[in-house]
Amino acid sequence: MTESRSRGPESPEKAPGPQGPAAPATTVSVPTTAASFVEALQRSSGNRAVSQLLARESAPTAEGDPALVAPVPSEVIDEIKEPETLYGIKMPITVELLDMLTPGSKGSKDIDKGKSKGASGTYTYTKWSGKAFVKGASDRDEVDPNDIQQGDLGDCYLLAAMAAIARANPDAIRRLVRGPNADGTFDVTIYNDTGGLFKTEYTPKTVKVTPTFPTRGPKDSAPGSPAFAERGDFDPSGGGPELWVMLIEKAYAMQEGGYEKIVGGYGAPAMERLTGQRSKTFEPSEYKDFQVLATIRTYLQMGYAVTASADWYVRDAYKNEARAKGIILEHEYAVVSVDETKKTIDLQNPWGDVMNAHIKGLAVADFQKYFREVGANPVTARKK
Amino acid sequence: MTDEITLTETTVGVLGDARVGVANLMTEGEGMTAQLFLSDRESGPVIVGEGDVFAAGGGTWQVVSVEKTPGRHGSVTVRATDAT
Repeated sequence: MTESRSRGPESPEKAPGPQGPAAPATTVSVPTTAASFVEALQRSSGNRAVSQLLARESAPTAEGDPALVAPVPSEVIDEIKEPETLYGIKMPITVELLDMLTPGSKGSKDIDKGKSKGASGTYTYTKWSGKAFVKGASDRDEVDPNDIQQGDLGDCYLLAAMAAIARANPDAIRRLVRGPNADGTFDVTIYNDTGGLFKTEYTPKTVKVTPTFPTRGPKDSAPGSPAFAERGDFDPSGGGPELWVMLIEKAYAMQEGGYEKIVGGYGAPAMERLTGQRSKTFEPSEYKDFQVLATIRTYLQMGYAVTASADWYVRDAYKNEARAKGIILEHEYAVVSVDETKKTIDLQNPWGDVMNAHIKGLAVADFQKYFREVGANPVTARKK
Repeated sequence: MTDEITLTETTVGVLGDARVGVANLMTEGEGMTAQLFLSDRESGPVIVGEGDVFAAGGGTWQVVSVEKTPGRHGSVTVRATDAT
């Protein structure tokens, strides 16, 4: 396993390897504590390299991080304080240098002044009056994974991350979004890596977000509807639509410099930006099938949010198979559950429920074949 | 109405009153095809290529083009069949 890293969809990557040899029929009982899990996996796999890698992973905790144990501070941080020196070296600090050293901290200005370009043209902004959270009739919590509906923006990784976190711990989403304030804005917190070149350190940054979002124009179908992330549930008492997904998507875009800047990415680093906790990743094709299932099951039992990235570089011959199995390649999913008896995995597509595009009962062998990376995030700080 | 609507691979657009997800663009024969997931179709996604006509959201749509550059998400451009 490796720590997550940001990478763009255009990055050249190795071609996916073929499915490995079938795993022996082995039953493994996996404890639910991290340490004993590593030991069990080492015993069951006999693969020291695997368990050494697992053991090396020690998610830095944010114990003591006030944002994780108390409500997000109400004050809004508008600017990055520029250090006088950088790593003890006196040098001119430029905006470009700070951007390079602190990815994801480019700005907090609202982005309504410009227009947002979508596939069908340029969208304009429309204000939506609503609530951050609304509990729908079928929701287990007002923050529910079924609130997620992707739109005409290639940020499946971000919406899958939201879905995975909402499933793991609704409170983790609730503490990101506060409001509405008296002026109708919401305070939305995103974590930025302020650790610089040699370490990762997530710092919460809260921005004011006006509830205005790109909407489809008169020449589009459904003019006036949100172009990107959709609204969630509607408040039956007339409080308007549920906005948390749209607000987080917009806050993320604000910090990256615009919606067009958040196209393409992976779930593991996106989860870090939403939780302030380091994600762990692994490639399913490098493990035996029972290890993949046991690892994901253990993460889910431990309350981790789990995402999975369907592969980018797949031959057309494989694409036909993927089509038949309902797998959308070059796409990010949230992992819902695993069945170790049937050796299957259920995945949530961030497109939403109405598309009938979730994946249920995917054979783990197909998961290993078509999914490049699994990301797991502890969501909240954990004791070592 | 002469406007064309471009839908991007792995995202969800709207045609009529249907949500449409676009996936798995690939070369088939001499052209490209795409898989469309339609919110108003229960019998599974459809495969379309240039020139194909399909129903979605209360209307019919013709595929103008299916385009993809390796390593990037592709796109499907359609127009309503009553376009002039």
